[in-house]
Amino acid sequence: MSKTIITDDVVAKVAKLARIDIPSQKISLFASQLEPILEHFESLSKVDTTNVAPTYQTTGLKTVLREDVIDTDRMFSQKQALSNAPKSSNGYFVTKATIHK
Amino acid sequence: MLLDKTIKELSEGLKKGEFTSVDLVNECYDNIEKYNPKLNAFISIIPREVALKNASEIKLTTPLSGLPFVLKDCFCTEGVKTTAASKVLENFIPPYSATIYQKLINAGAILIGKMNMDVWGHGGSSENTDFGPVRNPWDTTRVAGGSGGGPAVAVATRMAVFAVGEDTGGSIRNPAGWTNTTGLKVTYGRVSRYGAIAYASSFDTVGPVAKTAQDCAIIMETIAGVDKFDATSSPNLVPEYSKLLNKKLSEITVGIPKEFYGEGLDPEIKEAVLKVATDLKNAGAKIKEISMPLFNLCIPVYYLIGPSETSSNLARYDGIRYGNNRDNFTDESIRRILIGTYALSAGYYDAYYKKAQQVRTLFIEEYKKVLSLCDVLLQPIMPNHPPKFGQLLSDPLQNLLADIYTVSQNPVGVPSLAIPCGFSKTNLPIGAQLVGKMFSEELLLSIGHQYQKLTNYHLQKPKL
Repeated sequence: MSKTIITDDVVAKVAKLARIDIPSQKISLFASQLEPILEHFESLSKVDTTNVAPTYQTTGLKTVLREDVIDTDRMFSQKQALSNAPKSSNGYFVTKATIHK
Repeated sequence: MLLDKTIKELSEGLKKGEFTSVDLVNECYDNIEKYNPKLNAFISIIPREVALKNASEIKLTTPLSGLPFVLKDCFCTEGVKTTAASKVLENFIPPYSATIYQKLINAGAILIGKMNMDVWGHGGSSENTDFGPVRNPWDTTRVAGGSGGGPAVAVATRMAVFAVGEDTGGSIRNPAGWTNTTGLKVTYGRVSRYGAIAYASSFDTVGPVAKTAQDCAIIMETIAGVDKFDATSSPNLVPEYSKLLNKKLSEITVGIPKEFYGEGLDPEIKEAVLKVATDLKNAGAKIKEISMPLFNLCIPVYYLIGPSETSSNLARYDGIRYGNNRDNFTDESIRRILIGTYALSAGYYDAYYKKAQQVRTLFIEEYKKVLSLCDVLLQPIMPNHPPKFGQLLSDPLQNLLADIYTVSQNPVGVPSLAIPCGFSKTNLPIGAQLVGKMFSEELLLSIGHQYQKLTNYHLQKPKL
């Protein structure tokens, strides 16, 4: 790994990927805070991990399946499913338009 | 005060009719009224009359029947607001309940509140919350620890008999150590996570916070076990923990990993934690110094994988189906989302995320190796006493480094019991943790219980 450089552009790009609006005046602040953190993480690059398999979970379980049946105990009614929606209409969630004419 | 009694004593007292569940509930609410305005431990308080009605109707069927408890506000409780301390969920009323909540209710325990925490579990001081910081009852100018500051404070100040928290990188153990309570981070999968608001899914564990190891053992008998709603929950049988608390200390070897006692550890804390080894040795245990050379790498491993998983978990908050929109994340949560998104993004994935998961494998091997040389590891919980407000938040990197003793266990999955082990000259509590092999809760609780028979640190209460 080369020396990390977290520029304002990198922060802006990553924020966009994460769908977070960061006010432009705060981008540099985040960049300056993340730089030393990612620099600290560089210590990992010194560890030899040749032929070491990554671990993604520690349960020791494999392919946990459930019966292929409908579990009515856990079904929400339409009303329940919409009960926390900031906006709903005719039994549907209301979203912002994603396609503009 | 009735609330000073252990769960066993309370359960027996209720059965004998020495006092009633209504008495216990009233005592909790009296303490809440007295202490909570100073400590800000609660996000939601169930109305007293609702809890009293529950208490008056309770049948004494289990050791937890009739006992008032609180939950960290990251567990879904049907019909009761659940926020994870975030403005994103400030009005969220879950339409379903977490498995552990359902189990506790079925056992006859009485929910009286939902507790303050670092938002989403992001922090070790309960300052990173949208509901105002939790104050430490031992010194209200200091933080209570986190992320589960609220649950620990409730137990420390007798505002509830016990609590259930969640530990992703120390969130049960850190506040236990800083508030003089006992908390168990369980083996990954030992307790169902269903209905727990996710921070980092492969690290998250659910466990008890209480006054004693024996209390934790009793709570575990109710909350542990496989759950068909959580595919990562373990099918291993749940031992009768509370009946297995007397394993002979003479058959136990306690490992002291020397790297955990190096530079950066407060000398008072070091002395108090090592005194646990001396006390256990005097009671017959063998002590062995061991080495965990990877130790320093636990921060990058934890703070790459944790944020990666949290950036993915928090992606669900779109402000459309439930909750407020993404403008409501705190700066600390934004930093973690940014780190995670960065580590998972094209071009950086191999160097950060995958590399961390490989070093995680090495950590698993290292813990396996040292736990073949001894039965449990004795480790400090926090390198310092609880800081004053703002000290940790002012430097984001230092804020992460403060977690060094509590973040190596979660990537590995091993359990850890936090127990009170002393006080500073300024009367701030000090905790130690006992870490064991996968599914060794039984042994940890047994050692904790016997240590608490030898000492009285866990009996001390803050003077408010």
